[in-house]
Amino acid sequence: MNIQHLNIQAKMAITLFLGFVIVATVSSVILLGLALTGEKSGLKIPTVGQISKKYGTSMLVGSMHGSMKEFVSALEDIEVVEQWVSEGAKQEHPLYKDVETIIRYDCRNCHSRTSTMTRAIRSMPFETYEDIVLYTEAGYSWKQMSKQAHIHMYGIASFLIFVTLLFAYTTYKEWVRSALIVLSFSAGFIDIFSWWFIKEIPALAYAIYGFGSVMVGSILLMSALILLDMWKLPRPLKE
Amino acid sequence: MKKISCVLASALLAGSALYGGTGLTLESAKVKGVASLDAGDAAWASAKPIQIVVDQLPYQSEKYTGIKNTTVKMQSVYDSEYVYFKIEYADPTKSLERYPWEKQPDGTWKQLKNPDQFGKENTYYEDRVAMYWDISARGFERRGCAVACHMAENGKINGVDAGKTAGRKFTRAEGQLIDMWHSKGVRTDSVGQVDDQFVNHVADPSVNRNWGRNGDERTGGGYKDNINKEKTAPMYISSKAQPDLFWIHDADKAPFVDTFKAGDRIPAMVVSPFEGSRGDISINSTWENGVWTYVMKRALVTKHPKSAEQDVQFSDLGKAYPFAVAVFDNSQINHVYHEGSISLTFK
Repeated sequence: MNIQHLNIQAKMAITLFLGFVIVATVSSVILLGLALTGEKSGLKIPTVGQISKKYGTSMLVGSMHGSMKEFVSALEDIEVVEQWVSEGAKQEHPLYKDVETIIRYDCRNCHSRTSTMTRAIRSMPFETYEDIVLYTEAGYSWKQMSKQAHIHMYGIASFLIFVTLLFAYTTYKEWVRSALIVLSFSAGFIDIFSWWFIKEIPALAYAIYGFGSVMVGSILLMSALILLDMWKLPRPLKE
Repeated sequence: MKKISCVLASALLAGSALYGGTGLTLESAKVKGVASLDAGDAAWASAKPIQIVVDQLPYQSEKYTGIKNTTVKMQSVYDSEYVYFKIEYADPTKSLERYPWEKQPDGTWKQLKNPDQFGKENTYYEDRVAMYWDISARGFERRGCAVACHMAENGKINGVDAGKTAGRKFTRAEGQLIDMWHSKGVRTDSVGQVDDQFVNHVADPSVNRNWGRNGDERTGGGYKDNINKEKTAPMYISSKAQPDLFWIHDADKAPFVDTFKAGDRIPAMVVSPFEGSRGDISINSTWENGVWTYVMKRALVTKHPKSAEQDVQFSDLGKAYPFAVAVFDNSQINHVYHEGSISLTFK
């Protein structure tokens, strides 16, 4: 039994499913690139430094470098916030007054409990020092990481199992099938767990970059190979 | 293989389509001779249009039923002395009735109002369009007009009691200035002008009632409320009776004599052209088939005593000038805007 023996309706269903997977994967890459680079359009490839800032620094600074970058009036303001955070994020710190001003002017219209703005984020107010300091811990907290990890891993596993099972029934060499299946799951696993520990080991930014790329690449490659194998023309008969 | 290429190409296109549109530049085209305020002027054929999606609202009014998003089409041309802007956008309703007086069944007069939770009007007001031009405001190039927008938190802005308002405009520090071109359908468009204003750093209503918002210097003219001393009825009527008149030209005003019947309405605004810096932008506005079309004209360089701090100066045609656009649909302060700024360049 291999995938080439499926009837035409099954092949159509698989093709459409893989179309969704490919679009979703490419979309997730675009979204991640935009969020990490702070750009608004196009396919942007983030740098290792941007990845490191996203996962290794505080959510406050990481967001100012990434998804909230467009709302920062002057990029040098991010350095002020970054310095304040790296020096303990205390209210008594001489830079806190500047940080408060930056947040008041650039963030608080949306980040307030009573915001009426189109993109209001009332659940994440920055109105007081106590509000702000919640987002100054470096990297993901245990709570945030547990949340991120379970959502991502359940989500990725739920479609990856279908893709890998389909790939398992292609006619490619056994070692190719085994390698890609193991690679896709393990790359995802290492990528996500690197988020957790990057604040302790900054070099894990390379692991996030590398294994994230391997995971995405393997999903796209397996999808393409399944389609190719499933729909390939029958070989001509030999004399 | 061909099928796979199609799938991959579709995937990439679908992915890219999710994130489109940014970094707009409006190129002002040089015209031969002199351009005009006529929206049908042949000069516009040479001007490349841009499309600006305005889809952000500063606050959710209980009574705002206007546009929540629309696309503003803009073009620009310039001649040796003036720069012109043509602005078009869809607005299904032409709204020019601003706080009209209406005679009541008991013979008294009442100004029609329907304020929202912030005391602001969204029913009996005028359609407007505004352009913000950076003079020296920190962050304007990155954030556009949002850099001067400050919403109230529990009745306070910047720690100052802001009353009932939803928000106020001011810049971050002294010396930071924004030029504000504010086309008001009733109050200024009616006399062929844009209200030329500016925004500075004042964040204290005891210094300026309108916080950072100011009118440019004027030497005469302007608009005023049509209200008697007792504030119980109109002060004037128009000597020219027209069915679709929502203002009274100062030159046409006549003493109010009450010969009206219940339900009759009288405009609440007496208008005349501004003199001085406040009146140095001309406009021609029309609403037809659900589309507002505005053509504005201003000198490339203005020469008033305070031009440097009140007006953007297009003195270097090799430079890019950041600006932002907002549309007001029959609302007093709620408006639809875009994030970031647009660049004006001259070619």
